[in-house]
Amino acid sequence: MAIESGAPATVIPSRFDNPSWLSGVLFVLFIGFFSWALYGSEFSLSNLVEGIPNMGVIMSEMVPPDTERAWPIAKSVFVTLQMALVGAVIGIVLSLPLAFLAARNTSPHPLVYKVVRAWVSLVRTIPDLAWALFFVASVGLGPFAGVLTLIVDTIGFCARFFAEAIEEADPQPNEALKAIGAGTVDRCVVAILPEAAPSIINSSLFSLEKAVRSSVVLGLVGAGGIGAELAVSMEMFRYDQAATIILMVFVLVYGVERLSGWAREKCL
Amino acid sequence: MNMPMAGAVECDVKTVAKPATPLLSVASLSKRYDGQDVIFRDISFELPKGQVVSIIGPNGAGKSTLLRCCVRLVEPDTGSVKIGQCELTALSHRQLVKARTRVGFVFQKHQLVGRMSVLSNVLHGALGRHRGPRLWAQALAPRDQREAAYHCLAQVGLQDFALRRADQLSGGQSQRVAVARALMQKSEMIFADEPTASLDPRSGNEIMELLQRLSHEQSLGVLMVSHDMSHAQSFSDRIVGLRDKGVKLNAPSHACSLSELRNFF
Repeated sequence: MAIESGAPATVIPSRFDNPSWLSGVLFVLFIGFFSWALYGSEFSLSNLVEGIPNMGVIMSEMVPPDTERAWPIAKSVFVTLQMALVGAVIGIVLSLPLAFLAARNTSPHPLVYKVVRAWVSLVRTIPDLAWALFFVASVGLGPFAGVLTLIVDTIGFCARFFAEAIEEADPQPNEALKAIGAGTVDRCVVAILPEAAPSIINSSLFSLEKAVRSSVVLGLVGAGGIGAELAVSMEMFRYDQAATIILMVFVLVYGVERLSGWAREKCL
Repeated sequence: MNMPMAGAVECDVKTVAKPATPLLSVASLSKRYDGQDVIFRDISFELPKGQVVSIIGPNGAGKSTLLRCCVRLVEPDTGSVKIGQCELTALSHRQLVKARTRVGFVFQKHQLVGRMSVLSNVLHGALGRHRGPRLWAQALAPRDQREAAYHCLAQVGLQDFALRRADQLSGGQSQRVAVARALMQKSEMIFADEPTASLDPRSGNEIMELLQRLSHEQSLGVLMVSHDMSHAQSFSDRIVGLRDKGVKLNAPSHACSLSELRNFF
């Protein structure tokens, strides 16, 4: 539409609103808090610069990676994978019933909902290394302590996300079966679970990837797997062996991520 | 309403209606939302065996809420809902679940489980009568139940779609599957909440013909909410009209002309 001549000039609105005084105060507070955190964490650019030559030395000692202990290291990598697989699968299976109890639309009672939610939050907020130390002290050194850690860690992650997927599931098929007198368990399995399945599968695959990454670290505190080998190599200054371990861990994690990505494409 | 209403008589949910007893009797039913706004008050009507009864009325008249009140998916405030001789408002939760198996429900948006096969969806109609994993999916089902589900699917003309995923069907096909699921339930009556609302005119007519045929052939009672006056007049035996929060019309469909029904709004 043509603009008529003589029409009053249009006032173009400003690009941004003026920030409120509260935004200014919050920004200043954030800067202060961040500075305090930099001081507390002893963040130092000079130390970083001084450390760069050491990094270079370590990196140079990593090349070429030592293949002398390749087979024992590979066996530890397989144990790591086994720990991750067992821990994640058992954790996922245990998460499903907990998720139904922790979802607002399927929990049998508000009290059950709150108790299960609180327990899952507690499990999730305790770091996996703390769980690993607890299980090493309880059942001894070795992969089993790592598996128990991964089960608990997976429950903390999956139960929450599964519960959210269940709450977001389309309620209509459930209503249709409720109207004809279907039981609660049947409705949960045939009406809610299929609707929540894409999200549950996605979270499960992600938790498997997470378990593989976690299981590498758990060995550092004696909970089995490749982590123990890595800690020993670093402490013995055998950076060439450490390089072999890091490469194998990379292949493992990358392989699991690719496999999980493929499975995600096929299933969803 | 979780507690039985005062004066209501508890009954055996397996009570079968005597020949003269309507399948469904609604008397003086009232509902307010949040105890404040009246949706409808003092609603009374009956659903006889082998008849189609249409509930019509303007938007917001409470037609769908009334249908849900009839199986206590929404709890009525006062009044009586009887399935045969059985007073629904007096039942405990467990008894109510059993009583609901006597009513098939077809919703406006089909409400099928899209990620499962058509045959599995039909099979779920039997979940009111039987519990457990063998009815969760067609692959697990006993032979007789699979055959019964397939037979129900054949009755709505979709036997060739048995193993197709439900979310790959058209709107009309999905609604037919919902009817097949209601048939699998072996219920005495079917409640249908605007079953043709999301369908094109041809599919809508097909669904209405199907419901009418099933009603007459199998002596099912069909209680249907509809916005389509021609459907209400052509396919119903009786029309119940809601307006101004109450029943303003309750007459045989042949006694209502189409223009009268349109003027009802």
